[in-house]
Amino acid sequence: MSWKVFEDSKVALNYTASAISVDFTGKYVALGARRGLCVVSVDQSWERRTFYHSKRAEVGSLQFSPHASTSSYIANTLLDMIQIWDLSNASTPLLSNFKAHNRTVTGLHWSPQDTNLLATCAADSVLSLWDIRDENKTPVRQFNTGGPSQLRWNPLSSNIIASAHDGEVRIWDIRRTDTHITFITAHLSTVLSLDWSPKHEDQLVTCGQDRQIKIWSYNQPKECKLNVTTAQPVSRVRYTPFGQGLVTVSQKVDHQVRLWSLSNASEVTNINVFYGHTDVVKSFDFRQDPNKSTLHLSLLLLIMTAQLITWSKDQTLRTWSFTPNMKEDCGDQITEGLPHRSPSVNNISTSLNAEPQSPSTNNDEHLMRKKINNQQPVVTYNQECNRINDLLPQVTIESISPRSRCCIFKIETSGAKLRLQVIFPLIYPNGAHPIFELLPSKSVLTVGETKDIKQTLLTTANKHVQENQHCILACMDALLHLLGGMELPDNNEHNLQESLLPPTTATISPQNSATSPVVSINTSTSPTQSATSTTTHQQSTQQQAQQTTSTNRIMNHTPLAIDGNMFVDFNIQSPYQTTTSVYANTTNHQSPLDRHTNEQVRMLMNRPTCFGIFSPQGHLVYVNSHHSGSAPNVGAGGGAGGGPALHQNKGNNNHPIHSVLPQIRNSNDSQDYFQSIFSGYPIESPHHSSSSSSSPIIQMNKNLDSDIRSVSPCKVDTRVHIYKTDHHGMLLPISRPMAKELIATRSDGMSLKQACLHNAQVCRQHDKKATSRMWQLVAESCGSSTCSDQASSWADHPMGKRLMTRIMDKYIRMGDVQTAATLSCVLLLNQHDQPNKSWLLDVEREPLYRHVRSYYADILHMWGYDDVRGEINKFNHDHEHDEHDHDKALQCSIDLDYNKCSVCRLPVRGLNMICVMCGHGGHSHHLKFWFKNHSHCPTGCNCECVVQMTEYPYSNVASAIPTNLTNVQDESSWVNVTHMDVPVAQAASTMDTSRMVRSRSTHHGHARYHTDLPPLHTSPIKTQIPIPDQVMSAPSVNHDANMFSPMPTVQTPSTANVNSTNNATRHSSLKKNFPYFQIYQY
Amino acid sequence: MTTATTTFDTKHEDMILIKLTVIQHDSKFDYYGKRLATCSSDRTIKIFDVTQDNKPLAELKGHEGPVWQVAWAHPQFGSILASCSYDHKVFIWREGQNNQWSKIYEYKHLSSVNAVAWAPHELGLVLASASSDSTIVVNTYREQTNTWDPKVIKDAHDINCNAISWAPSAPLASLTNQPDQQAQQTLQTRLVSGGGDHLVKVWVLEGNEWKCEFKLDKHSDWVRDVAWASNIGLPYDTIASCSQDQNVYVWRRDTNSTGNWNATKVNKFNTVVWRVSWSLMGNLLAVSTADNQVTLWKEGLDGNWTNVSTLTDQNSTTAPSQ
Repeated sequence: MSWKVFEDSKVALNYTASAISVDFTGKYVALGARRGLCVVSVDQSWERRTFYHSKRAEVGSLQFSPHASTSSYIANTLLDMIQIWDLSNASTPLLSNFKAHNRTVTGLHWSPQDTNLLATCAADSVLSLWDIRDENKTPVRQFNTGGPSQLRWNPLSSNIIASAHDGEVRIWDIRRTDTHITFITAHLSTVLSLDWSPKHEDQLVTCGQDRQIKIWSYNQPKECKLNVTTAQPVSRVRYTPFGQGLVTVSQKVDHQVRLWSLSNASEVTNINVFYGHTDVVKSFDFRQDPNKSTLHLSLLLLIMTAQLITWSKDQTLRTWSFTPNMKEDCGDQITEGLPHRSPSVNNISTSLNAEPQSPSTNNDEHLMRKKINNQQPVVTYNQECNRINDLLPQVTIESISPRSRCCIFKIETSGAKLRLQVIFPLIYPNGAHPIFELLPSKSVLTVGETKDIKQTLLTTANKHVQENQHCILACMDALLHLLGGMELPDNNEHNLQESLLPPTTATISPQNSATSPVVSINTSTSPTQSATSTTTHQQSTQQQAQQTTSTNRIMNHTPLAIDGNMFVDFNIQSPYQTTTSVYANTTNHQSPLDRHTNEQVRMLMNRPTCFGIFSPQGHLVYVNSHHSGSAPNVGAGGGAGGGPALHQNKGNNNHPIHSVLPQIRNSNDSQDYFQSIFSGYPIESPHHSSSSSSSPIIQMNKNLDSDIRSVSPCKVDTRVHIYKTDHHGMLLPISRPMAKELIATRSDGMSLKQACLHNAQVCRQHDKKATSRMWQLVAESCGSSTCSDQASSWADHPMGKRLMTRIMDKYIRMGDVQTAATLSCVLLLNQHDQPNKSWLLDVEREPLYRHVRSYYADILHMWGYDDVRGEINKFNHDHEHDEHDHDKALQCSIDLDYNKCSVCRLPVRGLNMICVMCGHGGHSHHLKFWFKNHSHCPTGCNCECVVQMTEYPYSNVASAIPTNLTNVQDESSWVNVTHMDVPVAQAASTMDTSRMVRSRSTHHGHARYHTDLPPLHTSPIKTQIPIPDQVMSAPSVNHDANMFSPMPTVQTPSTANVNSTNNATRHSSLKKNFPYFQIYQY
Repeated sequence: MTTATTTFDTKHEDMILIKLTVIQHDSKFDYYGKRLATCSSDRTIKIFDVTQDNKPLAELKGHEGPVWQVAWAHPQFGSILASCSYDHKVFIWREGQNNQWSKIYEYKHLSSVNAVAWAPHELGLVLASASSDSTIVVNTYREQTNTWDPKVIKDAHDINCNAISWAPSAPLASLTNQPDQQAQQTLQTRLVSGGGDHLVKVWVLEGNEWKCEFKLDKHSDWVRDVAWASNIGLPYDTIASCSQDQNVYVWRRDTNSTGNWNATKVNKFNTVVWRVSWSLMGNLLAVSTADNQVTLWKEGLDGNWTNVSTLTDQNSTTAPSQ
């Protein structure tokens, strides 16, 4: 008996249909085809009859009435209509045909209890109940609900309907039309199918686009009882009419029909696959076989209860039988079923019938065996095993597990007591032999004996399976024969063999890979080893590559059987038991899921209750869930504290921290590294107030706290404490309040010395005495108020450069980027003032300083000090290129990101304006605002966007465009120039659009040119754009960007000291032109 | 003698049904330090505005298990938050208008996801997640197609991956001043992970593949957390790792050489060390231990690490008596 089940019968039908239904009697199956209903009789004749409907559309869904009295009725949906047919009525089969909904009817289901009740749902968001006897065709009830795609009546409770809405399942009581009684958020994507359990009133199964099959109880809608992930989304799921099983078909790729068992309360197991279809299976249904005459009531037989009928895109209709084994695996009770039918597995029934298994008291074993061997019945391995159990008195079955296809035999001969584990591959007995494993037993075998036994078993097995015959009986025979020749001592002691054959066995049988060998891993774990998790990677793995990872992580100290496609998340002693769930992997390429032993899971689930994490701003976020919830102590005893104390370790006054930090603090406020950020910035520093004064602590849960203390002392603390660590620079070397005050770029007239002294003053005010002294030192060394001569002489001094290098190094090493960056800026500026003098800063190390500056600039950005950041960033502009102004835009040191606004740093959608010089730009309103007060680029790239634009000859505008665009263009996301407004400006001289390029990005990168200008990025660099003077002198029109209207000017910075060449003709009210391209981005 | 802190209750709720204790698992500030995201075992993520009286801004629901970690993306990509949970999922949330958060991406691991970390923003919108299914997955956002492209590092650690951290993308060889080498160095993208196989692994992106560049083997039990320090221009890379074996190590490697990583033991604690976190400058290390202490460590000029501060809850010893 192969695990692969092929169909009993099939018929090819030349129809396009997506839905089928089997009638109550099981004789007919109806296909919802394009032209009508095709009814096929399920017997050897496959007689067909087609009922045409008027439309050309395909039947959506259809269902035979499930009631005996109306068994010839069938209802189907057709667009927004419902049709009900009586197939027994030869002349006018169509009983009614009415428009039921305003939109396509998506689902239809006959009430399983009420003969005349039909439920439909449609895309018009209505779920309706119809009485088919009603001539007026008005719905009995209507439920308004969002877009139901499926619905199913509860088979056990006549008033309950489940409907699927995208990812949600709503449960309705038809007596209550206003709202659903509950809902299940079943899937994150669309629910493709759902079904009610025929056994449990509250249980239903859903499957979704997310490849999950989930079992729910609508009484506990939040909790998925079971789930399993499949390789492909399941398009249709139904409970089996017997036992507790599911049948599923996949939406795509997978052409097989799968049978799942729910008999185990904790897992969903794929127990069978029906192979045969060559394309996606569209639909399926069950049927009770009508041939009751073939009923077999022999107790020895497990007989079919139902057949499966499938319809596939390959245009074949196939019927399949469920073997007794499948039913057994689905938890079907043999005695439970009444009239079971066995239509087509005649081979099983006949062979077994012919061979009633009497308890084997027969002495003539050979005769019996011979008989069996001759018959070679097609039985499953466990029937085979059972038979051996009966036939061979020396052999008893210790355990048999159909799911893992594993059987353990106990063999007792006069000389030996052995335990043999046999694992059956999926395709056994067709070419694959079972795997034999000797388990520890009372008899101790030598290595040679073990080898002999295995050899014998394998040889015997191979001989049989090559002929696709069952082999266990023969193997046992051979084994007994061999054992008869062996004298095996009966030994109770544990010895070497015990360790060779360890006490625990984990088996994995990969059910999905039909050809892969079954592997049995024996894991040796001594009790001491298993107490820790440290032994996990010592295991030997003998598996194929895919499974190596899965098994080498299994560490057992309790026997653990893991099925081929089931991996169970173990119950764990943790708060998260509810999340314990069952997962299955159904394909080979999926690696298995959680496979942790209790110990490991414990370690995994165990999480810290208390932690502190630095935020990018330097705050320390502290969470302690563990403590009792009462207000924790304030470190040194300030009574007002609302959080735990962060206090310095005060071993002695010469604590190492002081040697590290650049200044020595008063003992008075040495506790105050951490300051409230409650009041926002800047902070009213509380630390100078006396200890008795109230601190600015917020304690939102103050009242709550006291309540908790009295009521539930074990309440977990859910508070977050935020410590500010950057306040005094004691722990963090940089200080946020100082950032605004330090001078990096001197304003005009301020000397280097003055700048340094200012910074020294700032440091002193902020209690950074060492840094303050450093600034003083720099100030002194750089000489008098006229910065020039002495600074340069100091730079020429052999000590000068080295001193600066060492100062910079010290601060960088300390992590004080603030000081290092500021110092380098100050010194750099000095150098730029006097380019002829030698440099005080080591030019060699400029890349490092540059990096430090950009790092500090990032921090400033984080703090929101973008103005300071801009000043710092100016120095990261490469001054060497100053003389090559034409190239500047191309080599701007600041990251060119055209998609981001350089003011707000957010991606620009819609109108984007960029500077032709440096390439930076952004939202037009941001730039407008910026250039009201500034003339330079907001990124701090040192591009004087406004000034330079006006100084440029117009030709450069054009030349800048192609270079910019081609250089920085990022294939698809960037821009193509599609429209230049120059002619517009020429024509209507009120428009000053001369320097504006409107362009649109297209996803395909097509550029369309709407003007007579040559394409810009193919134009020669020096294209002259004729711009008449009057353009410049035209008053700017300031309407804001209407996406596709010609973009008029944005006015600009009045404050900029612009030397326009055309000042004379300029209107007095005219603002200078905005030197930006405008780009639309989508 | 006042200790000033900001304290507020995140009010993550106890779940009545299952009576579990709510444990906050992570709290992170956004880039500008204005919003705090916390996640907890009540399966929610909450976002607070700390500049406005710690006003709760949003509560993100969707995870089906305790949420282990959250991470903010760089603001240049918008307001984006990643979270990972025991439910095997990594969610990426984005804020639309007015605190309307929506899930824009979901990646499903095969087991609990223990850590998420955004790559340095220079690399784009790239998220790495470490899961108990022993994989590290690097999800890269492709702007052109508006899709996420997952790259799986299989069997990153034998048992499970507990922690992950990206190397800063800043040019590492700033001090060398050799432009060509520098450019080469800058291109290399690295991340560090810690796992249940007691190893700390450094991964480097070569071409399109992640390769394990170094295996740092000093810990004798599960590595619980790793953190790559930001680099302000010093010529070495620094990684901190902590473990179940109660040790915290700081690993250093000279950027200029191809040399190996040298370990310095920060301290041997009395209990399991859960988290390590670097301050912005990479000069201060916050170590969280199972005895509910957070200690701050600073490297002296002699290379030894000293404890400069302890954050403790003095009530915890007398805490839950029932």
